[in-house]
Amino acid sequence: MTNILGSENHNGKFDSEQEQQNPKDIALAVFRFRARRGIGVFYALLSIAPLVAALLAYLSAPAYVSQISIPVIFIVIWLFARIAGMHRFYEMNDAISLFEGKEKRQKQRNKLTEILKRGFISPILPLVAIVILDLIGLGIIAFIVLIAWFAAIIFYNIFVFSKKSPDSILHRRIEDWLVLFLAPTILLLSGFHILGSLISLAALSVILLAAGVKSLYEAPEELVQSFE
Amino acid sequence: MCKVLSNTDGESNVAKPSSKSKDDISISELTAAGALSSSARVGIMLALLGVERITFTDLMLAVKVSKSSLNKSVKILEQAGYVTVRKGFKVTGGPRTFIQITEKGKTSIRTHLETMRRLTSKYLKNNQV
Repeated sequence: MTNILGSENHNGKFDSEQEQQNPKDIALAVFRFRARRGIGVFYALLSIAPLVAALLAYLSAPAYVSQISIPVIFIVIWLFARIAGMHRFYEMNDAISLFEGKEKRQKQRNKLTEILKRGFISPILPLVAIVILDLIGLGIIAFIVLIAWFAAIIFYNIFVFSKKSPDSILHRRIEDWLVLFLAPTILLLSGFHILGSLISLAALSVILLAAGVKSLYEAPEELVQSFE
Repeated sequence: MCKVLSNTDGESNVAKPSSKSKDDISISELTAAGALSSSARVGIMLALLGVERITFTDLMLAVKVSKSSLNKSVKILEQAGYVTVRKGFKVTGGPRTFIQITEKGKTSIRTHLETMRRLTSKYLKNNQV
């Protein structure tokens, strides 16, 4: 396929450094590197959420501070993860599909799948939960946010991580499985109680941190492997 | 197949058309678009189509070519108006060079790939007969 797309440089001379590279491999390497790094940042930052919650509790901060801090924490986590690369999954898949000549199939996707693929669900769901709970009383806000986050993780795992295709942007790895099972574990350990959920989240945040660090550490490694 | 589809600046291995068809126009467009005559540059454009913009360092890691070689490729794409290069700062550390795809670049890479796909299928179809 490389030769089809041209293997001679701008001056008509053969460029030995670039000749062997398939355009799709280059694009996939960029996508995988960025996506894995973004996921790593996402996991790692989530692990500090219970620490912030504990700090606020320790400082006996007013209730409204806690209410405001939760969506702020989520937005900050989301922004940092986006900067690191956890976004544009849909566009990445689209680019690869374009190269493979499958753009027509992409256009036939329904709107919901498209929205989910774009990754809006992760930051929006917790915020929606918070707004609704604000309207009905604030008692179990942290617990509901946890449930919302759990749903977001599930959605991400279903829609962002691809199937076993060799062209997948992200392949599910051990840290992804860990995080996937972490959310229901926290819910079960919490005894469906706010304090319990925070304590279990804090206790298990080390897993999130480990998952994040592993992803961040292995992102460049994955990049190198994609060319081997 | 490669003989028909490979191209360089100013010259093509494809015979000059006697009458203008849709594919003939595309071939002349492709041969004129020298910026996309390298597979690495097509790869860079494809990657940028997905991520919109990227730092020079990240791109260098991905493309796995020397800094000077990548710099040359990026300059060619910039001269063609397919990308813009600007200096900036990254939240996670220090000054960075950002490469961003332009609308012209998006259109060009889409057209390029679409034309290649059409030419490939046409060639394969002709050879089967």
